[in-house]
Amino acid sequence: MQVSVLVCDDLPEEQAKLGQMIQVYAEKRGVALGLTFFSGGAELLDAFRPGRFQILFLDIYMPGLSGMEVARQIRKLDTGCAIVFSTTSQDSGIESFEVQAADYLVKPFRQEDVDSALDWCLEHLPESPRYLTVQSERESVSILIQSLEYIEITGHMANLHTGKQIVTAHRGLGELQTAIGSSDFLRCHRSFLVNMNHIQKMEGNSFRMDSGDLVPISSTDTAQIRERFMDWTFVKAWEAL
Amino acid sequence: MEQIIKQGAVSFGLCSPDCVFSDDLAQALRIWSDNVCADVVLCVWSDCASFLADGQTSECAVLFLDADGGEFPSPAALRESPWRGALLLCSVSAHSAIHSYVFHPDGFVSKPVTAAALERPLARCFPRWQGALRRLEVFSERTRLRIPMCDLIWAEACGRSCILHVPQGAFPAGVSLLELTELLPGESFLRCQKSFLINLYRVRSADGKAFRMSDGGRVPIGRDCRDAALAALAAYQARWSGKAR
Repeated sequence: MQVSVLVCDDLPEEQAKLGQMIQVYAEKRGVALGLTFFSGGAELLDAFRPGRFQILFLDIYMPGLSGMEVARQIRKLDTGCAIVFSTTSQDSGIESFEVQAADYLVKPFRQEDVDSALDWCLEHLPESPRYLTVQSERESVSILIQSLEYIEITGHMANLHTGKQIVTAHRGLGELQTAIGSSDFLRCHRSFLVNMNHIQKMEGNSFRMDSGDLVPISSTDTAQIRERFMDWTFVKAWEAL
Repeated sequence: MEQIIKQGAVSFGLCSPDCVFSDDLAQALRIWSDNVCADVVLCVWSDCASFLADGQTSECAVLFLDADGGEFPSPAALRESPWRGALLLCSVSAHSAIHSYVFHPDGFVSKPVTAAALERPLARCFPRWQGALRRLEVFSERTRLRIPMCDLIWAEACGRSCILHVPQGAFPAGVSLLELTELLPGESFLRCQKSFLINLYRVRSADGKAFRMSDGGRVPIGRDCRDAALAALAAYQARWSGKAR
């Protein structure tokens, strides 16, 4: 898998120097790194899409938007990418923690500084989006797991609700839960598996989903299921702070 | 039977030779733990070498390391030790913050330390101290709920019971507002009207008539306790931001 690395620096010679160090690292470690260069923050933000770049090297002092301002904007869109500041500025160390930077390299830096930053970033890359593949009406359908709202079993069939579509497959709920393999999914009923990221709120003995659908909570395990959901949202709320 | 569940205090540690900073951090941590209703204890070592030599380090969930005083440990010494908690570097300088990246800490605490300044770094290592949270156990529609106390945003009386407003929705609870008030810590919870109780930690704004809560709820302030309620909020916020101790 190729990892997308971005370098944003207003000075072409600095871009080239850092790009060269990244290439040396890639060859030494035998990893595939795709490099993209930007010479300003506005240009970078125009091209930026969540998930497009995994590692970002940002200069701080640039004409127009500073690297720190760019990092703040990026963090609103993408919390998973690794941000490494590569700069002459030694004033932004404290702010760098606010944007959860992975490293802070002060120019002139050495090859081993870049190596160590990239080693850490590659070790801590977030998981890529995962898909669940099922056979539906003799066709193979891949569903982005994070887009699944809930799964409902009716008879021997599983209805996979994504909010935009319902895919029907001849699969059991336990088997699907294992294939999904995510702690974000909760078995809230004998016939329902729910993605807690898509629950808007609890309403009586049901979950109200983003799509407006109501998913029932098992009457025999209500307390345990409510508690698991509350604990899950509690952890998410803290992590989002 | 409604009750508070204490799961046991979680240990935090500090390595610093600076007694003034140790006192400041202990004070800020006390205010923070009151606000999030968590039971934590702080153990202090004069330097990181003493911490690493101590046989009890594995119990330390979160370690604050003072980057402005004493010998800095080598990253390898920390990596090779049995300790596996969250590391928060504390310093007054941007230069120390940059230097601290060799440890890849979980967060950075800028000095002078306040309870508010601890909030985000500690949130990032939440799984490490989650067990410190005090929970309120209540019965709701014949099912038992164990709500982290700081998750309770506000509550309103409803006959002899009350309705609890938490981020996940609203639940009827088989406990009166008076009983609930007695179960919750007075530092963070305020009875702002005969029929309403609020969590000060969850107040987003206030005018003379109501508190606007983090879930968007508007909770009225009783006419007879308006001044006292607003003063309690002001005192709470001053304590939180370090403007008052």
